[in-house]
Amino acid sequence: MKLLKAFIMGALISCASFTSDGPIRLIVNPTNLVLHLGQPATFALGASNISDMPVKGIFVPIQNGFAGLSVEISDPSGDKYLFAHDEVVDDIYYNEVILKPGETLKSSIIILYDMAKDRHVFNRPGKYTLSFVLQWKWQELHRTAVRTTVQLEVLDRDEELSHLPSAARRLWMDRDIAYAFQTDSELSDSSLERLRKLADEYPGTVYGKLASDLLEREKKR
Amino acid sequence: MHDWIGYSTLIGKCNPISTTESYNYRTNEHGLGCDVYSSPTYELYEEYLYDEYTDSMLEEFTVADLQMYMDNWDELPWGKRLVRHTHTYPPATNTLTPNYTYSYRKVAADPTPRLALQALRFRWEVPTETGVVYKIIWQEEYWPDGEDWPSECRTELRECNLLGTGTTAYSTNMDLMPPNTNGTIYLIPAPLIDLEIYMPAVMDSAEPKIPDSEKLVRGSVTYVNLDNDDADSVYDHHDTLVEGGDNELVKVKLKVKTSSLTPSSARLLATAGSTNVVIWTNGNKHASSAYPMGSNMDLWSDFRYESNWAVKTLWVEGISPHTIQQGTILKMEYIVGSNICADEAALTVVGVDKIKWRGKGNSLNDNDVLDADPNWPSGLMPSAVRVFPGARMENGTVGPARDKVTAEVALTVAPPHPIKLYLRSFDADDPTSASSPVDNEADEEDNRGISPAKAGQFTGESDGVRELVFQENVKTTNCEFQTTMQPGDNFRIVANGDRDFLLRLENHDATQDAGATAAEKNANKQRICNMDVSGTPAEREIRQPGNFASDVLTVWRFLHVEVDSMAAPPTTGPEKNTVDGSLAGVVGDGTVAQRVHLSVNLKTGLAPPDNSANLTAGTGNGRFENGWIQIGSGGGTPGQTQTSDLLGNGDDYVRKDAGIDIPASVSRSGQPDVIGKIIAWSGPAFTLNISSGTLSTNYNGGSLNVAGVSATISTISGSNIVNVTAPPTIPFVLHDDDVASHPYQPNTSLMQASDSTNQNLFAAAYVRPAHHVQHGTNIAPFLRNVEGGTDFGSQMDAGCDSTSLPRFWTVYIQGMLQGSILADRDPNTEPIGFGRSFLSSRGGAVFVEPVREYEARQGLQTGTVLKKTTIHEIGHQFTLQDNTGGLMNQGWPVPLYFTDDHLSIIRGIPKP
Repeated sequence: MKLLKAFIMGALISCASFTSDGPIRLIVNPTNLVLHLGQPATFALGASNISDMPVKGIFVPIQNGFAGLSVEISDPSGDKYLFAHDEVVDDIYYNEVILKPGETLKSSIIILYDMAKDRHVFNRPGKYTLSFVLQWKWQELHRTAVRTTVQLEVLDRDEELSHLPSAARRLWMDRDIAYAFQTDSELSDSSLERLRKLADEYPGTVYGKLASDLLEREKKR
Repeated sequence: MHDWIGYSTLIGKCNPISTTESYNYRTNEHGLGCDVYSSPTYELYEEYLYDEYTDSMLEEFTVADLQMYMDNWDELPWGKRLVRHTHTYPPATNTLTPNYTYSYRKVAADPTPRLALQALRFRWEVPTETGVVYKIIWQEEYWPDGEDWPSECRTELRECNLLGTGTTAYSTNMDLMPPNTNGTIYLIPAPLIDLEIYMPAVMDSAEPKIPDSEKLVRGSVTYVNLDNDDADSVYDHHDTLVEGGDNELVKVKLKVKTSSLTPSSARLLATAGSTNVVIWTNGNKHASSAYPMGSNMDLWSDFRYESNWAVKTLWVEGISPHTIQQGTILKMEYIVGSNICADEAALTVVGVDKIKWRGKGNSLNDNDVLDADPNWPSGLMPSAVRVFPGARMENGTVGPARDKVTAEVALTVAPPHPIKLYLRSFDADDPTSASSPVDNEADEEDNRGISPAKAGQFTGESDGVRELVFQENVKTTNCEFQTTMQPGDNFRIVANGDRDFLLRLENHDATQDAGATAAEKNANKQRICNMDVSGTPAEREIRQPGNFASDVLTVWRFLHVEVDSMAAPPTTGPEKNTVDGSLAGVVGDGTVAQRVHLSVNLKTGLAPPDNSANLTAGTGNGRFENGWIQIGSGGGTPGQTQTSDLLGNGDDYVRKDAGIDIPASVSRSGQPDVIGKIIAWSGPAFTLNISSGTLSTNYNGGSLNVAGVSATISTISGSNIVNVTAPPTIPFVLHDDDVASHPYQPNTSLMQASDSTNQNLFAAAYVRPAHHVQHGTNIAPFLRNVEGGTDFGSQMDAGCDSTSLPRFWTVYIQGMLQGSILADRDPNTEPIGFGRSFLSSRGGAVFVEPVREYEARQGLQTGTVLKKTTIHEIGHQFTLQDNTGGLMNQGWPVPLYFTDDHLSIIRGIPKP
């Protein structure tokens, strides 16, 4: 019941969060509205021209969403911060492109580990508010942006579901693994070993499945 | 010197040890005989006269007779007296009764009126020390006969000085004459009076009495009364009742011991420093207990009897501090008749003159003199000084944090006794902001550092309070104070003699954020207030804050910036910034050579491969857009030439539609040279655009020179085609439009060692760049393009010499030629990689060539974007993220400042 309620609420908020007074709508679709502790949140993103006119701006899909996209996270403790996707930031001045009427540019972003705070984002149960802000006009001192807000709920499944041992979560919540998962970078040997152990010993857990997926991805590399 | 000998040490010893007394009784029975003798017979007349003498006559005779004997005092030994009972009798000598020390005049009515007079001569015997002057005081008190006693009692204090001889010494002889009216003059000890003064409870909870020997030379000591002992809504100095008593008040006791029956009174006044004190009859300062200084108090009604003393207790409050010891002299006067005897005691009222901050090698200039905080708002009181608590380089290594300063406290006056003063530190309000995120006024404390505590910490403090002992006669002392390490944190110290009072103080930003203007609010938020006192912040503020509170101490941090450049580009190897090879063909439009095919595949033949959009794919102009190509060799004619402003390149060619210069000449012995340019070349056939001469078969077997490279002509075809026996190897060097030259210097002009925000944007965060390290020991190798990921990390690690520590902030910025190969603006349609950084002090980079090119194309002054990029990348090392406003916005133009969010992060980060 609690899960269902959280889902409905999250869905409502998500649907109501396409806020835009301008020509651009930022669409944010979370894969999951309810997460386990330490679970990554994946969002399908879309930058859509909802006007009748072509719009010129910075519309550049990149690995972590769009150029000019920032994500402000408010955690259950009320702490607000900007999500740091990578430990390295590239300062690239992109060329403006034209987004035609009705055109939507798509991208995605994984939010798992904050590289500036050096901790997992969803590390405590409760409600998280994520504000996605796309600055799509840079050639001005005052920038043009569009914001979309979503809420997620993180449940401590260890408490609710006894078949999810916290040991699996402890194996999963590793910085190197999180970084590789989030940035699609190569896994170290120690991380691989840890993931194999997780996949083998806790196959039925969400963490075990995440480990399996990551190992599979690594094989294709 | 007020320790009168008659009062204390010689009491009992100074009774006259011998007296000479002479008195004469003469009565109305005194007969006067008149004997008449005649020879040989005699007649006898005898007549008795009664009441022959009036009183005045009686007195006259008696005095005259007595005086006659008094003139002969010296004939009497001490301890003897002359006695004569009738006018005509000779005096007899007898021994004095011990303590028979009075003179008198007495009219006895029974059985017959008679007048008795008694005089007394006496002297004082004193055991003495050589050279000491002894002052002897006694009382000659007249008690009248009859019913007028005691109202007609009179007393007179007398005194004499005695020079000590080292043995028993005697005063001069003194006469105690009979009174003029009937009564007795007693020679009695002088009244004993004593003004006792005590230490106040604020100094010593036992309130010990100041020894008599010290009460004037040292006296008591108290603090000027500025606290709120009863924790009510009014400071004690204005309070009409201090419940439970005021512990700054100094108890004094006015004590009188006397055998005199003469009506008397006493009073307390101040002969010096009267304006520094007020006096109360009750230690709780009840309004009704105010004692007007110098007003008389009756000995019998206002004093109470304690252990043979009449005692009156008063309390003295210090209302303004002294600047000299014993600044107030309290004088007790005991008034009996027309006589006044006095005792004195001293009081020193101590205040705090100043609390100063002194550095410990941690000022701006690494000395102890802390300079003014340049971020402190102009005109805001108190003022502020700053400290740089970060470590310094000491003998080539990072030393310990210099996070300790000296809090130097000067009193208004050196105390006459050792005293304790208590200090407490406060996290003062940040005056540069009144809102989140820099300063959320809802929070009582806004400092970001928590070690050792948000309010800092005194070395040796206990429960947040530091006890500071001022030794006797020491006016200034100090203690050590440790700051936090976060820039912008600030502190104030408050001193008070009452430890408990300090614990009821606060600097509560939310409640003190009051005022009509921002300046007024700022001033109010700097006040240290008593949490019990009501009113405005100014009314609640501690009293005399300019003295009892320090100025503000603000933390600044040095930011040690390592400015570096990657190594110079090599001239050989894959990382050299040119491509060389030989021409593979030329394609022209019949007039000029427009495309030159190369022996090198510009997309796949380079390391790393260049996937830039190029002319072959039709997606862009390729890396060499606007670049140049040198063709041929040698400096002859024709020789090597260079064509600039290339349109671009395909996978294996460069193109310039306006023409690529490939000079050529055709020669044959005996024939004039034919001059032109190669406009096409395929296989053995070179097509020329001839500018001089005429080509013909006469040149078969001759020589074709293409940009300094020769080939043998096999045949001439038509008017402009030269076929050669073997295609020559025509070298080329290809270069893109890069101009930046080594060293690749970041531009730190927005983060100079300055307090001005025009020159140092970090100044708003209380950070001052310092000690720029230029090109340290470690030099990163040259990479033509530095991609992200491990390449970038390796490049940072290879060049960085510094390590950032919480006590020693460093950042690292390396000038690189270019970033990602797909964001180096080669071709011009690529996005521009301005820089890249870790979100940590591992370092950051500016890509000087794309930035330079952007500046040039935008017509910006050189360095305009580079200086922004440099500080932007360093901002990342404080975990600041892109597009968060101010100079952290990507692109150009951007506002050149750190936003409040940035300032908050910079000020809160343990280290970059």
